[in-house]
Amino acid sequence: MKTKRTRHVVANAVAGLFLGIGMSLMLTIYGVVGWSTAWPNIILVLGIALGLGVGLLPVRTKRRSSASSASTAKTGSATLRP
Amino acid sequence: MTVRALWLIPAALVFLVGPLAVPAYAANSVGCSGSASSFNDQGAPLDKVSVPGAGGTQSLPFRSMWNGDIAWQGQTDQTITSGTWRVSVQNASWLFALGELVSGHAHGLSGAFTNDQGQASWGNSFTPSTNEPVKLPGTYEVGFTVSGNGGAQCSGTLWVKVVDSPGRTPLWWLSLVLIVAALIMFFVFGVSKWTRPILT
Repeated sequence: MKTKRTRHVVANAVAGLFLGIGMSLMLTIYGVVGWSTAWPNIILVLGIALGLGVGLLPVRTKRRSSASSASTAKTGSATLRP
Repeated sequence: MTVRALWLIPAALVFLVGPLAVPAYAANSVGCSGSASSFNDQGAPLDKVSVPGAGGTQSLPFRSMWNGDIAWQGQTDQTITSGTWRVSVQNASWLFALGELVSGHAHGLSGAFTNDQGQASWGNSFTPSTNEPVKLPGTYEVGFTVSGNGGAQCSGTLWVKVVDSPGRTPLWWLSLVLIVAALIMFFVFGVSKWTRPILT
């Protein structure tokens, strides 16, 4: 449950939508693609797909025990320092 | 699941590649013929196209400037005394259609004209910025229609490229803000889940 919340699928999809609209507008006003072609729509859809892809990627996790032992080892090495 | 996924590939190809196959036709017209000349904002000649003719294609569009004049002259097959005219962007993308809705020009630009004398030869000039104050650089497929009250009709299409510099136009700023906002959101919500692992 916690992992699902930390994926931020909706936020990343919105970010993808913004990126798609922004790139689509930028490429059309510079004349790279035409307003009367399907490219602006395709770039927009690709942006949303990218956002969904980033949002659905698994979250990197770390075991609490290994994390705490790592911090203990760090502290230990610090105390051993002369 | 795998079979279903395989069906998605041709479906996606039809959806994405199909609309890309825009026919590469030249400027064409029905019921009339003519030519148009464009001038830059200093008044120097920029481009000329004949309709119907070989120019005005997607690869070689008729170039114009937003603040420059476009002079046109044409002949209609039938005499037109009065009627209406309409200029619109053909096959507009979703974003452009949304922009048209926001600007209140959902069906393009249109108007009416009267000519008491009645004639088959026409000529006039206009400046795009006087009809639409927001500069819209880029390449468009433009359709035009002139309908006479007596039933005469003239219509056609050609590709037009507005060659003004797009830098610092309202659309340029909008797209820049959206791209920066998207990158910040990707960093906050996307990259952080790899750089800051969650303890389990």
